[in-house]
Amino acid sequence: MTSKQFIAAFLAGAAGIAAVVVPLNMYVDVYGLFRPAHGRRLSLYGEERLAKYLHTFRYIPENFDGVLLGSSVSDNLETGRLGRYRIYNASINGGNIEDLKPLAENLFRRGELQLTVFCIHRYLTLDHVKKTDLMNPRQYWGALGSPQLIAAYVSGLAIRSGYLQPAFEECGARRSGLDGDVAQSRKAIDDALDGIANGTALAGNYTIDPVALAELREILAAARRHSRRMLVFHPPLPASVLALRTAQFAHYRDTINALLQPGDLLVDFNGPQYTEMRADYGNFADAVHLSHAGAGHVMSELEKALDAPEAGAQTAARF
Amino acid sequence: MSFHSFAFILVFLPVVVAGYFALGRLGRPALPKLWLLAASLVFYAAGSLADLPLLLGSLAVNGALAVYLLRTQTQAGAGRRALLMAGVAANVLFLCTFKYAAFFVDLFNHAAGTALPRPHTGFPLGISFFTIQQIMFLVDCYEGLVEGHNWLDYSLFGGFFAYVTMGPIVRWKQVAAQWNDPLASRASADNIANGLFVFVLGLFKKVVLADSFFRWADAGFSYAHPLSMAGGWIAALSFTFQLYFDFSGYTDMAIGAALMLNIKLPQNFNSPFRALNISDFWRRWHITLTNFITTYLYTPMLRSMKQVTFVRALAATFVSMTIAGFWHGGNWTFITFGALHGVALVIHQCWRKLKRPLPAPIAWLLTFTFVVVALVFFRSATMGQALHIVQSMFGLQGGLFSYEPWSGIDRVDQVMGIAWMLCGSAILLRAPNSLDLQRRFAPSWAALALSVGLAGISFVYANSVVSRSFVYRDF
Repeated sequence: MTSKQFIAAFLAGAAGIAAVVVPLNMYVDVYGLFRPAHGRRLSLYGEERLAKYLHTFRYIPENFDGVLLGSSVSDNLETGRLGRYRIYNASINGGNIEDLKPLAENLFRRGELQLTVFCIHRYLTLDHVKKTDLMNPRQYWGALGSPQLIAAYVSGLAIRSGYLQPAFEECGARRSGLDGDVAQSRKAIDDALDGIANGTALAGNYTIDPVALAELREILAAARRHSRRMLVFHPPLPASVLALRTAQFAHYRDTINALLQPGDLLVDFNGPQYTEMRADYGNFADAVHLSHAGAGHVMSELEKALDAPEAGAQTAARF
Repeated sequence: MSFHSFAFILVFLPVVVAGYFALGRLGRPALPKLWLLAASLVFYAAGSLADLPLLLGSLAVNGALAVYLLRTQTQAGAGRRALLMAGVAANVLFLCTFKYAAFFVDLFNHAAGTALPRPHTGFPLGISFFTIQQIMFLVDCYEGLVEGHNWLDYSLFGGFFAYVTMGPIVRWKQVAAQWNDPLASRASADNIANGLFVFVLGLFKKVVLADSFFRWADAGFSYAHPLSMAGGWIAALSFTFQLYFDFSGYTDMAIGAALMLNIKLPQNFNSPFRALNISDFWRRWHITLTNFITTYLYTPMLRSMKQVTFVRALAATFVSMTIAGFWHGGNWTFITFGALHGVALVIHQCWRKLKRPLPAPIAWLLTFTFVVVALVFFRSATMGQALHIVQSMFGLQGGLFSYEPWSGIDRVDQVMGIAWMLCGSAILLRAPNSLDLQRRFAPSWAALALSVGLAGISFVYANSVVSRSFVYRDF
């Protein structure tokens, strides 16, 4: 082989790879980006943040009426049906407001939603540390071929061939991991109580980062502009955890509620009407997260709030 | 624009290579050089437009000094030497102003108890590299090692895109004659094929291997809690391998790109992690910096001594290495990194005097372990962080093993990352290095399959925001 043949063959080979890989990835289109996504049922493979971010381009706007934004506290809410709405659960495990911002902004740019739901947990505003660079418009082109796409294919193949259990529903809700029994939940909560009492457990930290709070305010305002309805809820805390941090939670809740406006729907699961729910260990996986049973209760209460005759007139002042 | 961006690979480099050889056919030798100079300035401006005046200013001032030094080459006099010293001092001051001002202000504030504001001069792209290259050039002019200097050749020497931002650090005599070779601007299929091959090797090392190690190193170094012993080693080893693949990958790309233009650049790495002692390590690691330290720091220091003794030579070694550490940046971590290597070289020189060589496996293990530990200081943002990691490595913090720092990496990514890391470790310790592969290269189906395969994987990896900028871009 001569050097000239080597150069020509190299260029042809590299171009050939691109000519095969790019159309193939466009055809598979795991994130629903390159052809109409309406009616498609996409599973979520690979990196959660990236997949949910890329779903905001077409998959969510073309298939859902709205979105749920939150941290891991709300990521197991099966929002495929929330009353008369089909809601995509864009909650992110370990996500703070900095993670939700690019996702929400990208979604709001794509048109009006019927409903935006916010699960406001103290973790969202604890800091404004950006945890990934992946939620970036450049990653749209990464769906034509990137290490993250390879990871998504590998996890997809592992799930389809039965080596891995699917971690998410097609509506973005997390499936696995939070099905602990009551005894386990009780132990996890009791352990956390010790940590909260001596100040070592994150669960007792109600610090509000001012930058994160300002960003939350902006996202709420954007949601108000781009959604017909907005529902905000404070997820339930185990009764014993709330008892240890009553004043801190009240301050946190008041700070958040001050960001709401008339017309915003608000449900506070730490209010007096939900005492029974909070006292039941079966509703929790640990001191922070909901069990599937707890998630189910929260969903039905949210549905009630949306269907209530006065819904739409509720404001922060009611709570 | 960096070497691993699509803008460079698919647009800049092909256009520059094609334009260079097209202009070479016109029979006017200045045209292809002008083209390269213009391309180099565009490359630099695309990296940092705001810093372009600094590069041009440095070229102008040093070029003028060089003209005087060359004109007075036959005259021996104190004035000529004073001008050289003034030129070197001006370059050092230039470097200090932009690179070390904040460090010196901090030192002053600490010592004097003042609160002077830290200057925010920014950090001009490639300043460390092009400044020491200018210092070398002035010294070479003074010593009569530069012939036939003209402004076009000199500007191209000072700003050539293949090395202006991150090296390799090049001496005038290594490249000037190549530009003036009548065959330089005639396309050579052999050089283009070889350059392409080396460039692809470098691209793969950077975007696949270095960036895979980066995630593990970064997660470990940014972990806020005490690391376990295994965690400390994983973080330190990951950074060691990341740095090697990053910098040697960059160097391969620089060498490959230049070779396509018929310019042969000096090698910078030669399997450094196979070194059996620390002197050997520095003969294999960042070779052009080692040459600079030896020729322009260590040797002049020895020459300035009235009588060179073993102890004084050891002192010169230590001081040279500490300065080399400081060259990387105004931070105690870099000074410590350099000083540690200085101490290690001193110990090695003393040990050599005893004439009791260690068995090769022990010598390798000692050298490798020392290099990994010293690089913890290189990577850390503060001395506190460095000590925290080093303590972890020696079991003085945390337990034996904890998975926590890496739990944020997706599981499939972890498996892929580990696979690449194993592959990278095997390459480091067993496989022929780029230098060997470049020497052995001959167009063949095997070389073609390797090149196309590596290019395909690299393009996929480069097409992600996870792809990082080069570590040495910050120096």
